[in-house]
Amino acid sequence: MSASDDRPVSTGAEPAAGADRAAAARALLAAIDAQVFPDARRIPFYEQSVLIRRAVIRLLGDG
Amino acid sequence: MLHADVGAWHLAALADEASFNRHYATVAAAIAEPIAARADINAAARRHAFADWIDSLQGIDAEAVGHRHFIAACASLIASLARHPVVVYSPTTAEAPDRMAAAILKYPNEVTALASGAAVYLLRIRDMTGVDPGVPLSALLVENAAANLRRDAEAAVRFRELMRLATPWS
Repeated sequence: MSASDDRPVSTGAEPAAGADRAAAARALLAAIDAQVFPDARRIPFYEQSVLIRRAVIRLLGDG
Repeated sequence: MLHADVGAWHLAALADEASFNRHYATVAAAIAEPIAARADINAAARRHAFADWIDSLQGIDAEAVGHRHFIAACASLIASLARHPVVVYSPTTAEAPDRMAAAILKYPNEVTALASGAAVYLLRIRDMTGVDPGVPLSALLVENAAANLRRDAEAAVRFRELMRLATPWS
């Protein structure tokens, strides 16, 4: 994994990551879900956002 | 609506840039709201972070993945976001920040990177075990974790230790 901030900045007209690389990443993440979390509850996107919000607020909520 | 928005959320959705952006925005908003701050996201930096994260997920045999790959994906998400100045928070009140707010304002990018990866880890582990693997963190712990990440983004590999997240795997 490498990072370089002097790469050309995308204008937004093209994807930040190549389509083939994004597809490979998607396949890997799907395989992780299938093999590590085969019984994962299927959560609608809107509910996922609510859960993320709650999780972050709880994690950082102790002051 | 993007294809990744149809149906249920899944890890693979994060490889879609729009979903990645929404995940990050959700986390940033959840951090900003309790400290009465506004989150300003640098879209170019976020795109670099997304590209870095996608790069980190290449060359792995999808047929042979296990929980270590999940942990590594969360860690590389944190590291990728930490390497780019994606977010700053601006207080919207004149009140002096409490200790947590001060830590967030001091390390906005690092705290948000940690929370972004931790949120993915937390939700999947809680769903699997029925137990929340996280505990509310003190400001001191959050500041220490963020400082570690600022010194070296590779500290992200220790995100569970830094964020006091339990693991179901020995």
